[in-house]
Amino acid sequence: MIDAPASLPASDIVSEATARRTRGFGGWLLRRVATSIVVLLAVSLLVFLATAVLPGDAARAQLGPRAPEAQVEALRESMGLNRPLVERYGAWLLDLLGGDAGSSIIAKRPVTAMLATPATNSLILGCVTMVLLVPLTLALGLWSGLRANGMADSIIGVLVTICYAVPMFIVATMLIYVFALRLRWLPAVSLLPAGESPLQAAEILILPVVTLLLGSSAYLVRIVRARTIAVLDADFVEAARLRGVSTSRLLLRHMLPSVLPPVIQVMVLYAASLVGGVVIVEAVFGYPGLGQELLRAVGSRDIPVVQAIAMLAATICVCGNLLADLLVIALSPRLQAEVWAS
Amino acid sequence: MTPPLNRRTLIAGSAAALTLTALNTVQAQDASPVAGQASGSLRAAFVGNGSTETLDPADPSSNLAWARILSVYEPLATIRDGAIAMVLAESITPNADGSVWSIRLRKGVTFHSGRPLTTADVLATFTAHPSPYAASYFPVITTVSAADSVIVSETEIDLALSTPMGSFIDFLPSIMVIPADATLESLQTAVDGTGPFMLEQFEPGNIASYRRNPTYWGPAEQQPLLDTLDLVQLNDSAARLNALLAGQIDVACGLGVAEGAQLEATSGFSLLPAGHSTKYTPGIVLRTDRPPFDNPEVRNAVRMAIDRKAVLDTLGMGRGRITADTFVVDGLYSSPNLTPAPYDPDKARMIVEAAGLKGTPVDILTSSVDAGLVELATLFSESLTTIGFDATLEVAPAESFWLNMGSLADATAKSMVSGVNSYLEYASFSYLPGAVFNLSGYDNADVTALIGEANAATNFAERQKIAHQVQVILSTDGPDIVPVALFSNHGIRDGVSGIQTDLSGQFPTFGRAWIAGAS
Repeated sequence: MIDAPASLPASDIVSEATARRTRGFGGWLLRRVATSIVVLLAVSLLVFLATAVLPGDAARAQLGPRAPEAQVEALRESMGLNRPLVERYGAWLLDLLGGDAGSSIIAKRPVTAMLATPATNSLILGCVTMVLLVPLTLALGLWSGLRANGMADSIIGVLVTICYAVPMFIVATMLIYVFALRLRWLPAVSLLPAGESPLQAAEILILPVVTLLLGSSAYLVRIVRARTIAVLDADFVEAARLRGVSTSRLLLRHMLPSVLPPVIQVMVLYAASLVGGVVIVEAVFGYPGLGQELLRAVGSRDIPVVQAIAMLAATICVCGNLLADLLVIALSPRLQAEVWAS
Repeated sequence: MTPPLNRRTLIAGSAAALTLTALNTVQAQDASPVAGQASGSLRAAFVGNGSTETLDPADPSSNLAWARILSVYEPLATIRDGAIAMVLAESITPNADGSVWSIRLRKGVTFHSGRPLTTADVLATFTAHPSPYAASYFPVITTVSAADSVIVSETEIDLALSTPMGSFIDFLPSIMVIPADATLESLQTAVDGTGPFMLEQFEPGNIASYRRNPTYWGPAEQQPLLDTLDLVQLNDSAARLNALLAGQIDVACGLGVAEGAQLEATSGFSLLPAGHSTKYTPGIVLRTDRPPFDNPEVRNAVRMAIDRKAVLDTLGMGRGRITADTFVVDGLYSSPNLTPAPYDPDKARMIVEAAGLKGTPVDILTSSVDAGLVELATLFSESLTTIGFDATLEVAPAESFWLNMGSLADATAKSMVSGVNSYLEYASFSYLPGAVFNLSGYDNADVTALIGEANAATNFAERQKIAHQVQVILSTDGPDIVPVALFSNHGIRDGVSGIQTDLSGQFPTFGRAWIAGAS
């Protein structure tokens, strides 16, 4: 005869469940971080190969096609271009992991020092844009979805379509004309005093950020709107309505958790595409950021700088995706259960 | 001895003979305030090379870099009104064969650090320049022998050349005197010059801020007037125009053709008037060592295909004049007797067809790095198409155009501007086989010999005579297509006065600029 196991006390059951959840989440996070690292490694390989297989080589590009071969060879040697590709990749990656992105071929200075200020400036521009983009697109998308086919929806639809259809360059030019040259409310270009952060001269951020918002929000508003309409038709929303739940509570407690997860994923992917917009916006507004550095580096085959900017962009995208996943899990009980059970 | 071709040398191809601006000047307006009186703060925008830029005076790889250099450094001598004029030197005299040059320094000149300028600084500038670019930009310094040069006193020095060079003095305007104790790091990150402004802050790719040098050595009429000066980077011509119109800057340098026209139509703003503005010569350089332009007749056909009047009207809005394919216009040794090729596209087409080159592809590399370059390249492309070539235009980013020497040297035709004010210097750097700025592959034994003779001649008149001969040959045989010389579109707001031009005429300087009403 086998004795039945004694029942566990309630507190033990709770702590065991918590421990299981923690283990489940820890395991998921570990796998997700590992995947991110693999992705970054793959990106690093692609970036390295893409820049390594460009026509000609950096030494020849620097010295010109008529430079004596001996001179080119000497420079090639000093730049380490004669080493096997795998060896060069390994050395570059190790240096990169150690925070050393090499030296600019043009400026002959450390890339990290060269790019620190422009990268910070661009990150500020991107982050401010994202901080405003999320609530703006959510508000407009939800409002539009809740009033689908109504006047507000139509107006928002027309406006976002216009913003989507007009190139960012034109949007920027129009904003400059109206707010800087006509009304004189805002600066036309982003002149930044030496040593100051854009956050200390916030007025220089306004037009670039608004340009990026107008150029980026249209697609996201349409996504939020479509998701909102879909959720509105869901049974649980109908049930909540029948229970007499107030509109605000319905929106915040019932609809948003369902609308947000897919929207966040799209937003993060869309944020990656902001990089292209940032390059354009920085050029139009003369914003001292990475965009102008990228243009210069690509044009002058300053490969270490191109590699560093590409890896920085990739790292931000991968980290953004990881953050988005965490947010989605935090918002979705079903996903939480899946993660904890994993 | 020729330094290697590299990206650093290119801009000097258009600015090698650049010199101190504060002295070769045309006042845009008069009635300037008294030195020391509050004269305002001025902010000017230029095209720059982003974070790659340093303060190294031997690394002037952009217009912005030149503007910075000219604000804080000075050479021994400059060129003014077609003749050499002393700056930091009181006198510069060669011996009989030009192998030793005796230099007597002006007394009372101090660096911004307060240390007096001495002949040790001059010797170091020529024989121990810490910049890796010095020999590329200023190859003449490699001819100075440190061992054979003699410091006579703190103000007198005999510079000995390894090869006698009668034209040595013509090359001095480009070379800024640096302190003897300068290191590469100090040159790149700080400034200790003798010029009218002192550096306050510098952020590569963004801004350099200066304040007036209160102990500037010059006489009262050369004392700087502005309290502060900001030189900022704005690479897009439209951005420079917008910044000017919005009141963020006082001077927008090198506006494009369209932006210049727009500014002229806007009240409260103007372009520096023709004759008072800096001049520049946008042109095209052809590769002469490979088809289709290895044939001098075909090069002349190209000259005949250019409607110079149309180019002048389109690019210069009438602010300039037609030229005979030379980058050095109205400069030292410039010949006044050159005749532009007549506009005759029909004859040009026949020459091209007779040479069997109809339909031959020609790549033209250009950039908006300087005003009018893209427009000229476009007109040039159309002209080539008209006479039977298959021309394609590639517009490179302004941020990297002067940096990518490989592409520039390789292109069959490429845009170029020049700020050189000494024909002989330009010829030495651009037409000798293997010369640092010879992006055309040009190699003509007669021209090479003549340039050598001219540089060796100790007599100015002799050098001038030979230089004129060279120009006559190159006006029909050379690689350059330079249809016009123009005045730059430097936009200013009302109240800005006293902007001057440097020796080359290409760069505006602010040593005597002031803001009306600032005091």
